[in-house]
Amino acid sequence: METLNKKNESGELNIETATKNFKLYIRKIWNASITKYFLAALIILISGLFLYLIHLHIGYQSVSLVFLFIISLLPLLNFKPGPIFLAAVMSALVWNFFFIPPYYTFRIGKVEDTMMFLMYFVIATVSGLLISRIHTQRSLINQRERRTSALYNLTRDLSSSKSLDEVTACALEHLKSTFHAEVVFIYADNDKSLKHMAHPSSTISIDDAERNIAQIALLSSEKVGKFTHNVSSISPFTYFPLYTKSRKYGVAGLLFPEGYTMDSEVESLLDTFIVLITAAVEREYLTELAKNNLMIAESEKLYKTLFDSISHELKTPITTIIGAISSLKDERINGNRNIILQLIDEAGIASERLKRLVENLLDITRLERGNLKLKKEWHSISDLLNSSISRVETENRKSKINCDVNDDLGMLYFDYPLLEQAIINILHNSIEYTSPECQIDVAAKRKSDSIIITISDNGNGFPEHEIKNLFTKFYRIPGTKAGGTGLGLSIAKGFIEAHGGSIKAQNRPGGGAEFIILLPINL
Amino acid sequence: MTAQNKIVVIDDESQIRKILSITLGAEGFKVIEASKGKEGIVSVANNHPQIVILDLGLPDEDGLTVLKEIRTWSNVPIIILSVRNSEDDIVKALDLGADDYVTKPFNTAELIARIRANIRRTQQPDNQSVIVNGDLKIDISKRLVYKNNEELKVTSTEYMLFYLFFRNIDKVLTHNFLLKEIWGPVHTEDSQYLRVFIGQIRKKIEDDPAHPQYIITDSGVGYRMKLLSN
Repeated sequence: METLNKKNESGELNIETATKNFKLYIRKIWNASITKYFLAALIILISGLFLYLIHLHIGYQSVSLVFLFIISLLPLLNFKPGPIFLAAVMSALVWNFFFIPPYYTFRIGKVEDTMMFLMYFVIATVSGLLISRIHTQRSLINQRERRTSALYNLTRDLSSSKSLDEVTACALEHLKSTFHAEVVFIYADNDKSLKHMAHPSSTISIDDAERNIAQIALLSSEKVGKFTHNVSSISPFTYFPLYTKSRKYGVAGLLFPEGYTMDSEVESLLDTFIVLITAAVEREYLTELAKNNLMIAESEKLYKTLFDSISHELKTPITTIIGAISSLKDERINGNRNIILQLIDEAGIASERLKRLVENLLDITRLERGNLKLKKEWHSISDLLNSSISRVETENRKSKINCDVNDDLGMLYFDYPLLEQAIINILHNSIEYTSPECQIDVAAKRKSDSIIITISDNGNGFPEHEIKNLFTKFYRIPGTKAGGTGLGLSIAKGFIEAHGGSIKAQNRPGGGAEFIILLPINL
Repeated sequence: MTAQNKIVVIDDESQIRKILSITLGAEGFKVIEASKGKEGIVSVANNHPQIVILDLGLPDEDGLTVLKEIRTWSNVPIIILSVRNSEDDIVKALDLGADDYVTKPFNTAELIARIRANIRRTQQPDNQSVIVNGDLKIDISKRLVYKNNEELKVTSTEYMLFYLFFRNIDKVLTHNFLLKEIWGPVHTEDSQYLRVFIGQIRKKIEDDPAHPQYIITDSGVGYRMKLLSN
């Protein structure tokens, strides 16, 4: 018994749902505004009146054809099945009452008239309903096609966007044009909080209260606002969270125009839009992340190279000095005057090297800060070159520098210590990277309104493809011998350019390297 | 000058080579300089030096590569000289077969002491059955350790540690090396074992375990048994 009851219950339940569905269907079909029913009735009455006037000429049978014609036109004028059915029934009755003899009764005299009446009724109803259905489906297809092409366009434009800003602008444009809504995008700083400012491309701005509602959408990962189940009455906006399993990216807020109706088709299209946009945003976010990681790795590598190079440069002379001094304590060594002198010499050279390194680091810092103040005075060019050469020669007695400078080059207005340092750095470079027997030449001449200083050697010259890097800070040609930070030439360039001059490096046609410095006379 | 006291110095910095030449020369060594890795390898092969001083940062090849190359055919003591005082590089070099290390800037007296200690070790016969260091003595044939001629009670692991230290007096033994020798290759990460056992043997042999005289810690690298006069 119990099982039977249950069966009955479930059966009733099924019947209940079926009835419900049917009722829904019926409601959908007949769901048309009252005006349409009136209009349909009015059309039948007016055409009935008109036909009554002329029916004596055309005969009462043709009247049914005209009615049929009118009913088949109704779907094209956007009449729903309900009014069409009403029109069919009314026209049949009108035809019967006014036109089929005997007149002014619903009674039909002849058998063929009865047949015609019944056939008319069926044809009018069926054709009206069929045409209306075709019409509805066509408009449905049109609608779908519009949606498909909207999605297609969105996908195409999103995939061709190259940055987060472009993706945002593209998303905004498509949302606005497809849904006729004003759109605001607010990205998130992290999973919990939105940025304070909406994205600048947004078509509308929102206040703090609205931003807080958007924040709810971000936190709950659910749609919030109008047309949703969450706080729908508070906000005129609908907020869509942009999130994936891995991260929350932000919120898109849409303000639909007054009286906008949201049906399930629009809603699902909108959801698809949001999914596509989120995917594009995520793509840009990940690209950005990968780029940043690469940059950090690069800068760490640069930092390590720099640190290694400078610590090597600092420790080598210090090692020499400590080594020399600690050796002097050794009894076997401090008895030998010759060795003592050698050690002192080495310590001296190392100290010079250390001094030069520290000066270079200070110089590059001055250049970097950009607050290099020139203390210009009048000095002679030949003085500058000769004193630079003699300073280099005291530090490196092994090398010979040949100087061919005319005394009548005259005076120039410049910062003496800075240009001297520049020349010394270049000379050091030439000495360091040539063998001791190489010849270094310094020459200067006047050409129109500038002085040209040439420092050349007959060594191996530079590898052609490295010339462009020679003056780059901290750059050293790979495979060159130990010692040096890659600062000297970039400092020289900085000091010369501070005087409005220029420097370039090239290989001499006959072999060897050549630096050409150009200083304008009216410095 | 005999072949007995040749030293090959492989360093790319001419200044360092020069200062080593002068000081080691005054100590009676003949210094052969090499500025590049390849040159250094050739020089070691040709000169059969008593000791090699090798810089880790070389322009053409990494010092570690040079070290590996020399170790394939020679047991000459190699002292690593490097500006990198990062422990990782030193440990790597020691595990690859370097005998000792000195970080720049160094004191010449210290370097010379290391050179002498390493030469002395290579000259000691391998098959000594009794080794004495300060108040300590190990009898390898009997597997016994003595302090002031009194037998110490040691476990087999502690004995292994003593054995390794006595066999390598004045040489730094890396954590890796000790762990591998005693517990086998799977335990090379468990340096806390080692710390426990070192603590135990220090308690047995040191007069003041907090200020050890025999087993010295080279921080981040390993342990070294210091040579004390008898």
